[in-house]
Amino acid sequence: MCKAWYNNIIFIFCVLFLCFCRKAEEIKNEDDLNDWYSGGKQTVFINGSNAFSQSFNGMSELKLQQHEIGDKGFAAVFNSDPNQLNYGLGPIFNNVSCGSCHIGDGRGKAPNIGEPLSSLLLRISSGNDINNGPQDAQGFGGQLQQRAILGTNAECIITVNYTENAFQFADGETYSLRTPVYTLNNPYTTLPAGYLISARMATPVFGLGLLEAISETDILKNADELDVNGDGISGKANYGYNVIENKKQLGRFGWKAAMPTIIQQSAGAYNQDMGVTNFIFPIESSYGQPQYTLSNGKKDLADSTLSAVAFYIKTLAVPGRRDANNEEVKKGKNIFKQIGCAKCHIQTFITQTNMTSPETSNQRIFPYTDMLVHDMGNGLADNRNDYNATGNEWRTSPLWGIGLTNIVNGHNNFLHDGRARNFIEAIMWHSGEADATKNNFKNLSKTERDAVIKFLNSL
Amino acid sequence: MSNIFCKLFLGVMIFSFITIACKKSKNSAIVTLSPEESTQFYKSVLADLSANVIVNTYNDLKDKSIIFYFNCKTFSLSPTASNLNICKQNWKDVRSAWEQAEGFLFGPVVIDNVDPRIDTWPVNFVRIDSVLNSSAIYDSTYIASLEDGLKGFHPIEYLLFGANGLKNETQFTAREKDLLISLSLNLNYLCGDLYSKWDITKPNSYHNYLSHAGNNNNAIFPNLKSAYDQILDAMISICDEVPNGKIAEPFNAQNPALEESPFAKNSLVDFTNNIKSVQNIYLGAYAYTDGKGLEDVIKQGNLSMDGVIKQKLSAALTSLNNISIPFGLAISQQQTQIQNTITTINDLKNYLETTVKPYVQSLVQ
Repeated sequence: MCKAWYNNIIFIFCVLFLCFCRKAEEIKNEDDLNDWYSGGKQTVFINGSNAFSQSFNGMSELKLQQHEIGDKGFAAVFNSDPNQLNYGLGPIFNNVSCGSCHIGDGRGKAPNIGEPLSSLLLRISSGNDINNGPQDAQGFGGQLQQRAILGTNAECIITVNYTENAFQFADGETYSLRTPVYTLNNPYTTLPAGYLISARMATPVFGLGLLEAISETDILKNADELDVNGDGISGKANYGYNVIENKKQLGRFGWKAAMPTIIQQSAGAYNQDMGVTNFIFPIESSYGQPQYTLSNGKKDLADSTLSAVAFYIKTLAVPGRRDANNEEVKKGKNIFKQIGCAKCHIQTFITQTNMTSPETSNQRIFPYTDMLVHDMGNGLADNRNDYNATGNEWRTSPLWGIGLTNIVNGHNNFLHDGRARNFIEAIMWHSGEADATKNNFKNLSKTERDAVIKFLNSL
Repeated sequence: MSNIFCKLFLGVMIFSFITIACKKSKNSAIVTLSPEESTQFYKSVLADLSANVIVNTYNDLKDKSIIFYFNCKTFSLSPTASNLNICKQNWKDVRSAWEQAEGFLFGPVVIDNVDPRIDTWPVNFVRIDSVLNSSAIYDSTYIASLEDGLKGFHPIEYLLFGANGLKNETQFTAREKDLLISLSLNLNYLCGDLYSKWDITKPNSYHNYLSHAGNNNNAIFPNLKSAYDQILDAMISICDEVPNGKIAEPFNAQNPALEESPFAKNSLVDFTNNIKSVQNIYLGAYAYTDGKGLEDVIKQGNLSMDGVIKQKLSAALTSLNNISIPFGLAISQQQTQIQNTITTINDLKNYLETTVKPYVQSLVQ
């Protein structure tokens, strides 16, 4: 009896030992396993044109309902007053709905020569104050609105032209980079002397709730403004202004990381892109212009709609990776790290614990960004400061989901103005702090370059 | 004798076996294919479905919009009751093709932002009157510059049918006729552009991406699953929008001004055509063309699911047909039928989402 009991104990011990051994093996491979799950538990494996438009997993019925209300708000096409529904467009505007720029919740498309701007806009300013941000250009505010409702003048008509320059990789293969040149035609009034402009493409809006959930401490850990570690990379935090809380705050969103929160980003877009006033930005974008008098002065957007749209954006899930175990993809990932891309395109973060937002709380995510701004060189510079970010500095773009851009948006236009027409061009535009890494890529063999591109396509 | 009997018996047995086997083969679509055969079969379904349903619908849309444009010009030159009625019918014809294209709202129609430019409602009467009262020349640049709610189907509907739906040929001003021609030309341009992007004869058409899903270097549909997901997501999406947006919003608000096509009293036809669009994709048929559709994928291994889908499609169409008065009135006077329609179409949506899509995903990689 005693021996049987002893044998049982030994048996149980062996079973437990084997289980722990297995567990240890799983933990050893945890990074590889999680790498498929770009957005942690908020990852979805949808590869079609709806890949960026999926809601978070595991939300309550109430939250799903809120998400759906926000979804409708995001798609709603605005009209000028008076109208039964979705009124308040203009008097000057860039586009008519959130979804018209962020098509499929994805990336905007660069206009071809002769095409009107649709999902690309131009910021304008006369200077910058690091505490208050870019200063409005007299008569034009902070953004050029190239469309207007009836009876009102667009601020100007923007046309784009491109100049092409050919280059070669070390192995002799050629590539071409196009540089956009913007012309401001027929301004409604004289443009102020010394104005500065910055082109900004509509960015993907999925996964932003997770990026907002990364702790400030974790973001700042990667900042090295003075390049103390001497690796040539000096990531810098930008600090924008939180209008609701009336304080400076770490910027996370927008091409120069000047926007601290999703709701403020959304409210700013309603106001500036569509001329739709709201509780965060209640003054028409045409303020200061003669045509401002056309505004009826009322708040155009219901507070609940703005909140729902911000919630919708916060709760858009991240597409999972494809082919992550493919040998060429794995090779590309290794090269990506070896040549230095991952110094700024930081692979992973763990979001902070947040009892009020269990969906985003404590998630291992793989956004491939450090959320910091970096000097990207003179070629990409807009020469327009934005809070702490200089004219050469741009935020490291998240790369998650980037391989689905063509499927969702029908193009592979990348960078802040969409000038890059594919991954190769986007990489080869990198300069400044990324010069060494770009040159490393330039010196790769064709096979190695292809592997990096295949890796990017798997994100 | 015995030998003859044996031969006769054997012959009858063989005949019976063949007859039963053939009959079985005809009645049951359940077949077993090798992995290679399956891949080819799933590709052939996509190719058929794209060519016979999607491309043909857009082709029809384009052709009908051309006819509409020319008849608007004819009406402008000869504003008779008969010519106006032709235009009104033409508008409904174009509308029918467009609504039957809403079951596959993906690709160029989304990427190029065509949908808001062609189908935004409610109509802003006041602003249309401003357009009419202005001195603007209605050239293509001017029309393109208008906000989206002032062009496309519904402003045209307003001009043609009038706010009360009873507009006659004597009530048109010269400016209204000019604007009608320009808006119908703009509509034709957008419809033609859509067809062009799906045109089978063009190497980079969206049809080629869809029908060659899974081929090497297919940048849009790198595998079959992504293509089938796309098709099913689009079907599910319109089955969500019709009951929960197009019907529920005016119904819940009890506001007929929010309905989709109030002036032509065409909303119920619109909704019906949306469901027909889903049915077209499922059956692989549009107008006079027919080929393989999603049903062939389902029937291959699950006849009962095929039956349920067809029953739910039929129920959805019947529920819409049971609303016997214009939608704007029905939201207050036939609330039971409206609620039943919302429930029935949502039932179809849920089945597609929770049962059909996972099943297709289990088949197609």
